[in-house]
Amino acid sequence: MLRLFYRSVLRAHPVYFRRRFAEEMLSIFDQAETPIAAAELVLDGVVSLFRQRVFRPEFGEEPRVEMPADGAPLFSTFESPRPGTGALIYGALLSLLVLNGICWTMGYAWNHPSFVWIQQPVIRPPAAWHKKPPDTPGGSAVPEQPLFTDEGRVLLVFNSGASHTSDPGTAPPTTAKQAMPGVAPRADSALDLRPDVLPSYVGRYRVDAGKSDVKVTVEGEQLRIDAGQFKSRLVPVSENQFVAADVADCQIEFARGSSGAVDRLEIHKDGHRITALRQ
Amino acid sequence: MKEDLNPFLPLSPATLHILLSLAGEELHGYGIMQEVQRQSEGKYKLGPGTLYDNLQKLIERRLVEELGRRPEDEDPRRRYYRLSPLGRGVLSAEIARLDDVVREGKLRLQTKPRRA
Repeated sequence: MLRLFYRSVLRAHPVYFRRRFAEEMLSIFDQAETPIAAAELVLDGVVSLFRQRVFRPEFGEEPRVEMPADGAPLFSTFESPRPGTGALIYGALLSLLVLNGICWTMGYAWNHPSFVWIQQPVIRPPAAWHKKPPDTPGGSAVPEQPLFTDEGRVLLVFNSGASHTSDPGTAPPTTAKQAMPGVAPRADSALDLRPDVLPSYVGRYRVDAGKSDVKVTVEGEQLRIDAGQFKSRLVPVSENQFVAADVADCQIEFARGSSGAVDRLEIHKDGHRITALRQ
Repeated sequence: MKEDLNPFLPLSPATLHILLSLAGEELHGYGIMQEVQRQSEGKYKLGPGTLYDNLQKLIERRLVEELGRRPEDEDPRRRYYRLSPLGRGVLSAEIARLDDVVREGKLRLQTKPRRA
């Protein structure tokens, strides 16, 4: 242990001194017969380190080689061009620290509410898709169909109630939604929920960071969400899972506590999850 | 042309002991430490930090020459050092100076103190 510490002290000496004398000093340390003698040598090494670092700056570097007087340029160095083992270890540690710092900063930014609330462009399907199908006279609903298929993932079109009208020009924008992870959304927006379900979700929820509130209200037979940065109707895909009809790629999930009461909601948006606790 | 040795004088105790130990033979660092301890009868103990700090300066001022390692030595990490001709001259000048100091000191101490 003492030898390891003594080696560390020697390694901390200026390069020139270390290269010339460190091995010999370690050799002398190995001659120490008692622990007390070894401890004295360690103390001597610490004093030497202080002396060399503070009072011997002139010996910190290799002495310059005398240049020949014939005018011919001479390029020579005593230093090896290869980095030393210590430099490689310190470099690796420094790289890890910097990488960790960058990852931590990016993770903090991704989880910050102000980052999540960035509005995404709403994808609107072509107007032709709103045309009534020929076999549904006076068609009251546009058939739900897969919009894109990407390796088994189905992107569904959720139509708002207004899109049931026969005039596509007055139809509100229809939004393409991606399925919530682990959720199999039902394509029909007219999911029948028990009458007492929607009121149980109404209330004010506070985001984890406490910087913004999310307000859930009910209008008629539909929930509405007001998150400050966006407002939207909520279309049920299951009893406790909803899709924000007016915002792209945004799903809401309500969760109940042990008492059975709704105590929080989770907003899934752009692959991130924001939890808000009920106030 | 004889070099002026006065800038080297006086020598510090550590430098004097190192030059004295190298005056007899070529030694490695550990040998110098042991020789210094023997010369001073154990009263002056030189640590490796002080030893190599002084050796560095003595080599820089060309008073001591480094001879390198000897494979046949019991510890191949050791390097040997010897006194250079300049170092020998400086040591001689320091001994002569100390000799004068000792003689003057003895003379002064033998003189009877004046009565007031």
